[in-house]
Amino acid sequence: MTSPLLSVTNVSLRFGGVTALNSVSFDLYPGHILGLIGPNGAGKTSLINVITGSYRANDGSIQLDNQDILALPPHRRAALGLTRTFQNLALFGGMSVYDNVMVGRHLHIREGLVASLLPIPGYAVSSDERASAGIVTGLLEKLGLSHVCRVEVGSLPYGHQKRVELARALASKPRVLLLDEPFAGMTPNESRELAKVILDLWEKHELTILMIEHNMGLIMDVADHVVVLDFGRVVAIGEPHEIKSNPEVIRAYIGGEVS
Amino acid sequence: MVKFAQLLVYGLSLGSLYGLVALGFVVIFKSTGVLNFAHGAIVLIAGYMLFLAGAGGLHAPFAFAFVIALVAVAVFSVAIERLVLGYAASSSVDTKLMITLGLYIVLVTAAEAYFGVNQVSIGVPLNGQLVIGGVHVDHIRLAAIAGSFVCVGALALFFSRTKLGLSMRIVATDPEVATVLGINVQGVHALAWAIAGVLGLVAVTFLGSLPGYGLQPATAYVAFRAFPAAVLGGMASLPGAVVGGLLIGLVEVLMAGYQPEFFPWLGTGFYIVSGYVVMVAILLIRPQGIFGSRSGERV
Repeated sequence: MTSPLLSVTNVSLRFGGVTALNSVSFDLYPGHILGLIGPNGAGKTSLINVITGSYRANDGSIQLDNQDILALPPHRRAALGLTRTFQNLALFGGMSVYDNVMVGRHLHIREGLVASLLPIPGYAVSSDERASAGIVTGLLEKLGLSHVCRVEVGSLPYGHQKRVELARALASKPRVLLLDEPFAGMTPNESRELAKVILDLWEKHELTILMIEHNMGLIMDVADHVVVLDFGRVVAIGEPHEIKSNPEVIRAYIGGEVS
Repeated sequence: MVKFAQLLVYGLSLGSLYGLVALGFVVIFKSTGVLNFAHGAIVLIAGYMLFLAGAGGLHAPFAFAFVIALVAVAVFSVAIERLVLGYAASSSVDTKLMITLGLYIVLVTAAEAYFGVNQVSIGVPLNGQLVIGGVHVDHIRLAAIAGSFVCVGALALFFSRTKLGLSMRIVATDPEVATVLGINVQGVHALAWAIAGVLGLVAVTFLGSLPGYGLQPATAYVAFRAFPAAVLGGMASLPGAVVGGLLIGLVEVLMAGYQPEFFPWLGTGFYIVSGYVVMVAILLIRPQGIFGSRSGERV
């Protein structure tokens, strides 16, 4: 049995008297896709925020490849390979598609300060930068964005912007990719298409993905395991077919019978 | 005509220094979202650090004293940012603004208590002047203009060409995304304060050496004279701050030169606030400032 890549153990998060996450535990194994579902306000995004470090957990531990990361500031966690996308798009609207994705290479480009400052044409481009350009071009192609690569992001349709954000996250070569509702706001056709692309990339790059999604059909199709959150608690963990028939899950979504 | 040319020289040299001080506001506002009203106090303390390293304490030669002051003011700025604003990191920008206003008053009062109200000389060893067609151009004024343009150029290169500069621009646009990209947002905030402090030192060094000027607690007030320059420029624009600074410098000096003659009913000393008159006038026409971009907000 391989050991989990991301291990969340008894994590709790409180805002004053409100408990957003209550002793949440689950494991994410390398190469797996974990679906995170639950009604609105269940704490799904809070959980991602705790993992990336935007929120500081009150209790529990989070381990990435057996290293405890709970004490690390968010940028250090990113450097260890945790990358996310946002529920609401967070792109640099005035920049081109290419530049937005290139920014994702930030951690991987080293530079000499002097070489960067000296205005010698051609010289300032480091080998890291050239390699990154190749990676970015490849990603844009895979995500079907090559034809808009010089277009300003803000002027693109929503579905395309979602893809750009995904490309930026992938450009950082994440060890764990956290996707917060990657299909939100897309038409069923767009969703299916993007799901295909994500699965394709997942296979080729051996990605490990944690994905929040409301589209039940989609998540049941792509996820290896599903975690169901309700009121900050894990009400069920299991393979998709187990989740579908779990009475707790049905109660959380549809509501319990009046007793 | 000679008078006008003379005022032009005064205005441009003073204005270039206002530009440097305004840049300090802009660099911090851009990357942290905070309007740093303590900037004037930092500029003042930078001046006193130079004074202590040179004539007023260590008696180091000017160049050496300047380097000492450079390091000292950078450390001091970062310490203020980390200790006070870092502690209030999760507070709203309004709270931080009030904190900086409080800091300004405390730091200036402390400096006054320690150094007294008398003018001290930080003496850049640069005397003499050129006389061109009856217009007197002090060497120090030329140096001030040159020095500020070197600073602005270096800053522009830093932002456009280095990874650290890029990090600062990313943090300015979206701190949340910056974090995800592995950028140390707090580190960038500290760096912005250090840069502002260093720019302040350059400004106060020349300002305190202009003929008729010196270093005294009231020097801190220069930040409020330069503040309209930052606003005029659009608050987040580097070239805007420079152009704003030159504009305010020119307006002040021309006002000081011509107002008593043409508008005597405005009384004496009106030139001091003339920058604000220009600021209000321009903001009424262009609310986003000269170089600012109008951001449409969806309702």
